[in-house]
Amino acid sequence: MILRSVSKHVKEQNWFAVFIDLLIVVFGVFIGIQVSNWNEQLAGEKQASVLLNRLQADLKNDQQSLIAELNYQAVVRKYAMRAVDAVNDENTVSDEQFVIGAYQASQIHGTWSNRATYNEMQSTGHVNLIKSESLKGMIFAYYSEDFAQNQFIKQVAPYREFIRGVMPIAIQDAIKQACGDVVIEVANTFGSRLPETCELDMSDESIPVTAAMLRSKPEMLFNLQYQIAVNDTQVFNLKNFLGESLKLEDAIKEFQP
Amino acid sequence: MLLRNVTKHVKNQNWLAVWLDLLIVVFGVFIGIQVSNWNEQRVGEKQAKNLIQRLQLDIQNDLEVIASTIAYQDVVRNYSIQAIDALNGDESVSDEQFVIAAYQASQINPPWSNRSTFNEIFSTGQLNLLKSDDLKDSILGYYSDDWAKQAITVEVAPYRKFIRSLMPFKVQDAIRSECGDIAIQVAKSFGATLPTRCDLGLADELFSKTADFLRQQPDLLFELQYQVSVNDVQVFNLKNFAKVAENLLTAIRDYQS
Repeated sequence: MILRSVSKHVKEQNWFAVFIDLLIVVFGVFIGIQVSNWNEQLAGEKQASVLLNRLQADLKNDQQSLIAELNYQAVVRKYAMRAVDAVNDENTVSDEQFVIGAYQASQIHGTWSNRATYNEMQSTGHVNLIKSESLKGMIFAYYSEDFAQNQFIKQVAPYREFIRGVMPIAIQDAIKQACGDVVIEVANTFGSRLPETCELDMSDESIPVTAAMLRSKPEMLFNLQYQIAVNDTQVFNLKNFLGESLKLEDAIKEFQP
Repeated sequence: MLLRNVTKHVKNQNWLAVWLDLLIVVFGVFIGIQVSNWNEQRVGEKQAKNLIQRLQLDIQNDLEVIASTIAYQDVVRNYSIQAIDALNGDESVSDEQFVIAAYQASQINPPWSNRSTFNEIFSTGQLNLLKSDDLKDSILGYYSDDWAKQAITVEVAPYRKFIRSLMPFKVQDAIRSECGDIAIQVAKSFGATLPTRCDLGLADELFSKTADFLRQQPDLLFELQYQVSVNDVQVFNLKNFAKVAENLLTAIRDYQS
């Protein structure tokens, strides 16, 4: 229609009308693109809210992973304290509970972080879809350090190697079988829980023999104590990271009511 | 005169037609861009389907790798237990079998994960092409931790270095060439199996000398026991990762149907 009317106007040399036609096309294309841009911006805002929702889900998974680790470490610490008591001849600990405590004190769980959405936002530049500078700042700060790669959190005390080298395999197997890790669902994958109490069905002499052997090892108390120190440092750091994660989650919730 | 001319033109102009033309252009440009966007989205949906299929293949490869590693570790564990039995005075284990078992207990077959599709989905932001949030969560959960790089999975007990430094090289060579790794196809690449039995054609005297020498090493039992413990922790974790992989495969199949 435009083309036909333009050629008609040119033939008639109605230059005013030609000028108006030009204006229509220029202005029309401009407005058309502008509308499409607005549309895109709207989609971007929607995309930002999708990403923030996923970031929230990642944070919840981080929290689940951290809490599973904290719960696990709390149980390990109790076993470790029982073994320390036994080595120090305090609070009357039976040989069986001593041996179990000594083994369970070497259990580790490990934690993992959920950084997928953040990594994606970074590599695609979508982080700029978030309009709040302060929220962006908080997100960058939280993800600046991967807590799962933090050296305090990853550290494994030498006690693990020590006790698992010293203790007869048959007893290790029995403890693992009766009171080893119980697999639980954590953050859409799996984690573990350690049973808080443990009793073995071993009536033979191997338990008191093993207990006596462990008591005779001069490095036993040294290794155990350092194990507890490593565990405590981990717990301290895990709690701080958990606090940061909760703070960021609140900030996101506030940003998108 | 010019003014009169202009007023005449303005008067003569069909302003309804001008507005109509403008509307047509604006609307035309907008629709054109919109159609192109829809087209892009349709291509995206097809792309998502392809990616999901490739993800399925990756996970199947993961499962193959895990199964082959567990099978390998199973054989290694049997050798380790045989060596421990011999060290603990079990006379049914010959010197030859003891020496062979002590060596084979140090064999490792590290697994690898297949994350290329996931990495691609991630770095390009294509994860958002998937419409199911549940499936997205399961995928993110599975890939949050690279199981093949987990500290527990990559740990190699010091026993490997210990026994390979102690054992006479001639014996190690004979075991490796007669009963070493057999390369097999695993997940479109190669893995290994370890023969479950091994008989060597070397002189008995060499074995009894080596066996005596090993029995005199005070650290051998310690190192062996820790080696078994490391092996068991690996197998426990791999089995759990396999379960998570199976669950993800089921979730993908549900999504596709």
